[in-house]
Formats: sequence, structure tokens, C-alpha cells
Amino acid sequence: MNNHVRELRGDQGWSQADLAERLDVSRQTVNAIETGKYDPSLPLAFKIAALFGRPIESIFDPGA
Amino acid sequence: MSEPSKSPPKLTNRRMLTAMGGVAVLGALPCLLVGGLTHRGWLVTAGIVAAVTGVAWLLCARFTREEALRPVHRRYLREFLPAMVGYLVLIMVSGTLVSRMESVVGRMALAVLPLLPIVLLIRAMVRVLRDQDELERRIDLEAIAIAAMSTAFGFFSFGLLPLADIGWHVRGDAVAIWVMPCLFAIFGIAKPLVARRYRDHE
Repeated sequence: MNNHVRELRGDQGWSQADLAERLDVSRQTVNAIETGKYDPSLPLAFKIAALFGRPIESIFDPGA
Repeated sequence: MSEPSKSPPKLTNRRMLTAMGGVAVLGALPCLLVGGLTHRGWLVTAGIVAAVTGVAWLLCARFTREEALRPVHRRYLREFLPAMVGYLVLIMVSGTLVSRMESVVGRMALAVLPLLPIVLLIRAMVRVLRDQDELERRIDLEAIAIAAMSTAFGFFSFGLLPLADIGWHVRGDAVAIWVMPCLFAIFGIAKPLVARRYRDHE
């Protein structure tokens, strides 16, 4: 699954550690999500969407 | 959403691994020395396990990025370390005194005494598994599954060797004592390998 987490994080000027602390997950988890190595659960995906103030489908793309 | 704190972390995963490795190696030295001088096999075994574990932790620390421990892992340390120290103290007390006790009930009580802090250890492990984030939990559970399967099948296969009548006579109690160190050692090896699957260039 593709996602735009890295771009959205970059737009905010946050480091992976900053985003991890805001989501209450580890930095490795943020890195794994950004690189597509790990697809987050629905609750975490919704938390990410809420943090960036965007609909979930505009961040995560199941197509590819 | 609250702003993340920017103060430099005091307790990091690298420092924790270094401290734990140092303590394990330092703790191994008296065990090996006293065990060797007094011919106590179990103490030498404990020393070897502590030394190998300590060196492994020190090696891991070298390749670990300096990052602050999350609250869930700080709580785990607060719960795990006192229970582990209690376990080590009680196993020393039990191993030293059990053979000198004349009463059977007393020997039984001393022999199972180290099980008490194990309950606290299990509680700490279950709580960290439940409360860490979903990827950390997945990595830990995969590593535990690999360790459990490898240990179970390994000891089962090893148990078949004496049946082949190849001249081996292995003491059952010696085998049983190695189950837990093997389980933890394989978990320690499996965890970074499993974690590699979820890591990319950072």
C-alpha cells in the first residue's frame, strides 16, 4: 500500500521522531509506514489522518 | 496534540543496552571465579550465560541508534529489573542452601523459591507486549514464535539422540536448566532479524 505520510510530515517540518511522539508510536514504526514496509492498523491510520487533518483515503492508497 | 518535548533524553535504548551488558559481564566474572574455585557447575553455567548475554547486549548497543526510551519501555525496565535481580538473588540462595537443608519440605520450598519473581517477570513481559505499539508487538510476537518453535523442536530432537544409543548420557535436570537460556538467546537473535524486514534506509 502506498502512502503520503513522508510528504505530509515533511510539509509540517517534523522529523520521524516528532511524528512518532505525536502518534505515540516508535520512530521505527513511522519509518516502516513511510517506506511501505508496514501497513498500519485502521485505528493508527485514522490517528494519522486526524493528525494531518485529511481524509484517510487521501493519505493511504491501496491501489499499488 | 501536544508538542513533543525537545530536552535531550537521559535514558536511551543504547545506554540501557550498554548498562545491562556491562552489569551482565561484571556479574559473570564472580560467578565464573567462585563457581570454578568451588566446583559448582550451576554457578559456572550461570556465569557463562551471563557473559554471553552481556557481550550480546554490548554488541547490540554498538549498532543501536541513540533514541529516548518510550514510557512503555521505561515502565518495563522499572518492573523487569527488580524482578530479575530478585530472581538472581533467590536462585543463588536456593542453589547454595538447598543441598544443606535436611527437611524435604524445606528443600522443596528453597528449590521453588526463584519462581516467585518469575511471576513478576511474566507480568512485566505481558504488560509491555500489550502496551507497546503495534509494529513493536508484531516483531516481538514473531520473534517469540520463532524462539518457542526452535527451542521446542531443538530440545525434542536432542532428546531423540540418546534413543539412538550413541553413547550419550545426558542428565535431564541439566537439559531442563538450559531451556530458558536457549529460549531467550534465540529470541535475542530472532528479534533483530525479524525487525530487519520492516527497516529500510533511515
